[in-house]
This record gives sequence, structure tokens and C-alpha cells, in this order.
Amino acid sequence: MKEQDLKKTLSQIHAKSDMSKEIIDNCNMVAEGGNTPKKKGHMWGISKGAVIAASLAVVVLTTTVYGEAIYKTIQQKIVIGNSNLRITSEQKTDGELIVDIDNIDVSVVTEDGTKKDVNIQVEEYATLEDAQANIPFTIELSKFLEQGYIIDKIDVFDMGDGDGKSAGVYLSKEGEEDVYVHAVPEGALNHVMSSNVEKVEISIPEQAEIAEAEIRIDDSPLTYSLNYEHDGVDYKVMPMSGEEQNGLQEIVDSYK
Amino acid sequence: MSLNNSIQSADKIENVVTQYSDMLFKISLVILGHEADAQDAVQETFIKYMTKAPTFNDDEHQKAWLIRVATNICKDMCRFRRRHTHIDIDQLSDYYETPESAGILEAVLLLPFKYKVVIHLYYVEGYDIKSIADIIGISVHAVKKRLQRGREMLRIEYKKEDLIDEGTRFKKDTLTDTCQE
Repeated sequence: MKEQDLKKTLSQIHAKSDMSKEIIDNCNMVAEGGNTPKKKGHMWGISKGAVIAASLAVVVLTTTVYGEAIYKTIQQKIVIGNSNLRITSEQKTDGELIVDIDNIDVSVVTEDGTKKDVNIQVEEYATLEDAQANIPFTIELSKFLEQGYIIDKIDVFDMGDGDGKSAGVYLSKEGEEDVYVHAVPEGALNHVMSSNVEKVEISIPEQAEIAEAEIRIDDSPLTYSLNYEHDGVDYKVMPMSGEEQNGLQEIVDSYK
Repeated sequence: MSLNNSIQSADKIENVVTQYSDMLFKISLVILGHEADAQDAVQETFIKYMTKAPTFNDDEHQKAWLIRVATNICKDMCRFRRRHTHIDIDQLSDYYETPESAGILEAVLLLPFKYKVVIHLYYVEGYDIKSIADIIGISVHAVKKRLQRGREMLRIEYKKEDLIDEGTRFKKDTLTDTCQE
């Protein structure tokens, strides 16, 4: 293939004549306080994103180490774009949260308003080896363990409905912020961000075999994270306190 | 020159859409491989432009911002796209004129996301490597590597297309996943 043929082929692509007018009309509609224009293309798997969001949220809710303090934060986080998640939980008078960790039901409202009930199966493992034997992809935690973090536990989530499995790894280190790593096979959804997100990309040393990483920072706690892809698996790293970004910054620094 | 500082005016939106929508559609279609999805991405880019109303130093700065936002939207759409969502090159027949162009376009669509973006910006938009690095926020070295690797993959894919041409070509129900990273 000659480069000029490549250039010629791609240069032949042009938007249809009525597209610009439609976009301008839609922008004007939004400017006047109207709704965001209805999408023409695929449904972008919002319900699936919501499922993973739910899994993350539920994981935090059910982890006594991280406790009640972040409960309200999680509630705020459950709204994702045009989707709404409701996680059923009870709170005892002493503040302890009760959520069924083995069998979680969430209701998802997708972009088109359809409600979908989702059941997430969760299996807990004490070691990475045990978890690894039950997921169809390899988890590599890169430099976290080198920093002195140890694994508290690993949860393997089975989304069912053909959505496959993902894994959540809890890491802790004395005197440092606890960290949660969510690993999802490439191509599946791996983040639960709202639309109000700033992105920063950072370089990763080649020896880490990670091409790049990005930090997504949002207004609310727990929605900032370090996302990267390695060997076919997408990773999302979140400091657990949700109060400040120091933990995340240390993680990012560890890649420099 | 500061182009704006609050929600963009209707006139400004119209000018910017008229000037850049075709360029953004081109790159979105190459990334997503689907006409309606590409149009959604362009629409969302301009809505962000309008509502965020960023301030730019000049037109090039503005263009780079629009490209960065559009490619990030496409990337997010890929992430949110259901697994195993595929495209059919025949559905894009409005965007190529000859079987040869179809083969080239299909080879490009088969490239992983990160290679498609740099190849498009380099060959179609005419950006140099440093500018591409600035636009998509990676190092110059990484851009060079992606260009090199993208060209290699393109050659391999296109050769495969040639082989298909000689054999079962125009079975043409070949489905391709455009959103692999």
C-alpha cells in the first residue's frame, strides 16, 4: 500500500451535507436549555458500565475496613451519565452496613429509560494465585507490590449475561493510603466516570511494559483514578479514602 | 487572542461547526467505523465546545482542542461499546469509491485505536510528529513508535486483504472490530 493511496482513501471521507446543519440545530437546542440530542448510533453499553460501577460501589460498601465514612460518597457516585444505579443496602444503628456480598442485585436505568435488574456474583479470594485460577485473564499489579503494598483480598465479579468477569484487588501498606485496583479484560468497560472529567496522560517507563496511563480527575472523591492498559487488561486504580489525591499521586509517581 | 469565555454564541458555534465538522467526522469515522456513531461523537464534541467554552490562543489551538476532545469521546465510546460490536465495511460504501479504496479503508479500520489516530493525524491532517504528541498527550517517541507500528500493521492487514481478494473476496460479510485498543 502506497502512502499516497492511504491519504487519498482517508481524504475521500466526508460528512453528509446535512450533518452540520443538524449539529448546529442541536447545539442551539441545548443552548436554549433543551435536552441533549438523542444519539443515533449504538447504545454504548451504559448498562454494562453501570454494572461495573455497581460492582465497584458495592465492593466499597461491603468492605468494613473502609467503613461508613465513604457511604455517602458512593451514593453520589452511583449516578453515571444518564444512568442511575440503586444499590439496596441496610444500615444498622451502630453504622455497620449490610450488603449481601455473594449475591448483589442492582437496578439499572439505561439511557433509553429501560430498567434492568442485574445480579452480580462475587467470589472472595485471599491470594492472587487463587483468584487467578478463577478468571480468564492475567492480573499484573506492576509496581504496587514493589512499593510495599500487600494484598488484603481479591474479589472476582461475575457480571453474568455474557458480560464476563472482572477482578477487584485490595492493597494496603502501613502508613499509606489503601488502594483498590479493578482489572477488566480489554474491550470491556473499565471506568465509571461522569461526563465532567479532566484527563491527563503520563508516560510510563518502557520496562514497566505499560504504554501510557491517564489520570481522570473529577469533582467528587473516589472518581479520580489511574487508568492504564497492560497486556490486554484494563486497570483502574483508586485510592480508598476518597478524601484527597495523595495516594493516587504516589501511585502515579511510582511510574515515573 | 481569546476566542471566548462563557457559553459559546450561536454564531460562533455555527462557524466552528461549519469549519471543523467534516474534519472531526473523518477522524471519528476512522476510529469508530460506523457512520451514526461518528456523527454522535462529532455532535458531542461540539456540545462540549459550546458548554465548556474554553479559551484558545489561536485557531490552531482551537482545532487541536477539538481533535483531542473528539478522539477522547471516540475512545470512551469504544470503551462503552458492547463487546463484540462490529462493523461491516459494506455499510461504509458511501465513503469509498473503488474496491481498492475499500480494501485500504478496511485495513485502516482494523488497526487498534491508538495507531489509527496517529496515522490519521499524520497522513490526512498533515500534522508533524511533535504536534501529534501535543494533541494526544503522549511523547514524541511514542508517536514515532505508533506511526511505525501502525504502518507495519497496515501493510500486514492490506496484504491479507489482497489474499482475500484472490480467494473468497466479496463474500464481504467479513466483520471487523474497530475499537480494539
